[in-house]
Amino acid sequence: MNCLLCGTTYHEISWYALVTGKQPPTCKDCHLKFNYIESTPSRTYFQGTPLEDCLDSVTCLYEYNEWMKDYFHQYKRLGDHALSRVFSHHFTRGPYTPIPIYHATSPSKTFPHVEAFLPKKSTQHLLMKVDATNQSQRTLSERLVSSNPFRWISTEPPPKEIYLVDDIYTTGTTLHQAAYIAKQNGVQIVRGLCLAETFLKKE
Amino acid sequence: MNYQAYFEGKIQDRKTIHLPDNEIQQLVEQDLIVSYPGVIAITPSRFSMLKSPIFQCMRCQSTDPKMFAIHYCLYCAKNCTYCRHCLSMGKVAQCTQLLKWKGTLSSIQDTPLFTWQGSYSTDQRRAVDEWIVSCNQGKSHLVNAVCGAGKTEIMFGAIQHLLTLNKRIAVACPRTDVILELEPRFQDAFTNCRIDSLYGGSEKPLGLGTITLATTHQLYRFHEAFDVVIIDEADAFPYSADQTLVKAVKKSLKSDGVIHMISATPTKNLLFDTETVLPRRFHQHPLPVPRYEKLLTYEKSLKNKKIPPKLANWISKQIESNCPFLVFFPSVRMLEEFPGDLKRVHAEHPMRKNYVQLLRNGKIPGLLTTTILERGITIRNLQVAVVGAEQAIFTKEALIQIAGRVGRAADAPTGDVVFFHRGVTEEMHRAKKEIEKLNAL
Repeated sequence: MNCLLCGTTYHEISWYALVTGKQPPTCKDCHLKFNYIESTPSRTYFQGTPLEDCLDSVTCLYEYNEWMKDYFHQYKRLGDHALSRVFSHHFTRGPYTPIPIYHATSPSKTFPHVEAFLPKKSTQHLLMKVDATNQSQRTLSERLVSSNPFRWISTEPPPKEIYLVDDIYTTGTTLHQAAYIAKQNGVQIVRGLCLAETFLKKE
Repeated sequence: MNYQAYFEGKIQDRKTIHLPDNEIQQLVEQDLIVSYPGVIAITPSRFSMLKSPIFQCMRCQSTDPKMFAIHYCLYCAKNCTYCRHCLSMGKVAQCTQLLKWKGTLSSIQDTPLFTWQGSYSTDQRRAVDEWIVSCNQGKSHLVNAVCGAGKTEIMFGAIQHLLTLNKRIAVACPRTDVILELEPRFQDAFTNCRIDSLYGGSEKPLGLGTITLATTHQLYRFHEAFDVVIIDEADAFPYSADQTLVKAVKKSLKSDGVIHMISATPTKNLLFDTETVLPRRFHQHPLPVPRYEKLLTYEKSLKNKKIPPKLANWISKQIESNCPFLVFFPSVRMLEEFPGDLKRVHAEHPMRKNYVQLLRNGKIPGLLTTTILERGITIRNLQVAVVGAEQAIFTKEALIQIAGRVGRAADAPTGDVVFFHRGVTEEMHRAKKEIEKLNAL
């Protein structure tokens, strides 16, 4: 088995591997580079705006450290789809609602990176992302609402509870804006699930 | 628009070329460029044992099945395979359109001047002359010169001659730091000459340089571009481990191009026509011979965060006598878990260049390192220790290179090279014997 990240060959000996015949996607050294924190960040940024309280809970699995930054550079920026298997083992239940990528095709976006690490059978496509860069409003509330790029696309009755999945949680704006749209369209409980959390502005 | 300068010698992704489709089509029809897919699937013949197709990347030539992945591609709206091997240079997939120049190649426009200020020792002069003879005969040449023999200066001599023959030259180096170190030296030695330096993250200028310094990875971009490729440190990672790099070098050469190699520790698999052997350093002093020191329980001691006394004493002695030192470790883990607050560096350490400079300036007493510093660096009066010299990562070549860091300055031609070990290996023995043999020549 070759590590998806560093290419070294390894063979894990564990009960899991024996019984299922499956090997983990990365070698032990690479696995240890990531910092699993399972945090529940709260951002006070949205208080007093219509986006307040739209997201009922949010959990971030990993810290956005140097290794996570490299992972995302290779996965998202360079387009290495094979790396979707590195963290997909965290997403086995569902149903999941991935944050979509911008709907128009572009030569650099060859696959939807959040959707790629979710199991196909338990993925719900409830949202689409459009171009919405209306930053001329004066107040924070106005800007947050008018720059919301998400639109509801489902024609079915809305589920009672959904799990929104995104890759990186920085300000929380993405998840909060998506949650706002969901609540507006009849969803009662919106839970956020992110792969990595960072306070720094991502590059 | 100078199409020749834009396209010649390189393999480019259509997406990176900002020309309209009809213009590209015209160039294809005029037989000036050829377009082909980035990844092809070779279906096995009826008589082959294989059932599924093999993929080949048309940029890096890789056919390693482990380095290809497939997914539904939004760009071409179908399942499409891409190459993971050369992914860092931009994704190349079945739907990628690669463009290659088919027209005539330009000749060198500038008139380079050789402005190197130094002078050669007798040995170096002999090496340059022998190399020039091979160049004139179109033969591939290996310069087998010990660490500190002044290989770079010998290379200048050969390149100067090749420039008078109007050759376009590429120098391939295993690492970016080597390129960054060589660039200013080349700029000083060859004026009025376009010198391009290519490495991950560098600018990629239009056209081809007269001299191109590139990491071997960057060579994947080129196709029939160079008359001569000089491979520096020909035995180093990644050449030896990666067959596609050999193919990449050959692909970047023109059909009548020649490969030359430089190494202090050439391995058996290198192929060349003629060889120059330089067993002496430029200052004529012998190479420091390594000595062995038993450190049988180092692994256990280090696990318990204790430095074995022999090693601690050696480090103290260097600090007391004000000698800069390097301690080599077999793994990053052992390096990081070593107690104390000596600075440490490894391949992925962002402050690596800064720490080496601090050591050079005497601002820090010593540096802990992995094999990343085994080659290339020059620090006056350096003393070196290897912990765990019996481990597999310390091949004969690695140990010879490590020993070669010591005694490079004419006014400090000796130094201590100590291998701390748990048992003398064949590699350690061969390294020591070879150094002794070279000194006897």
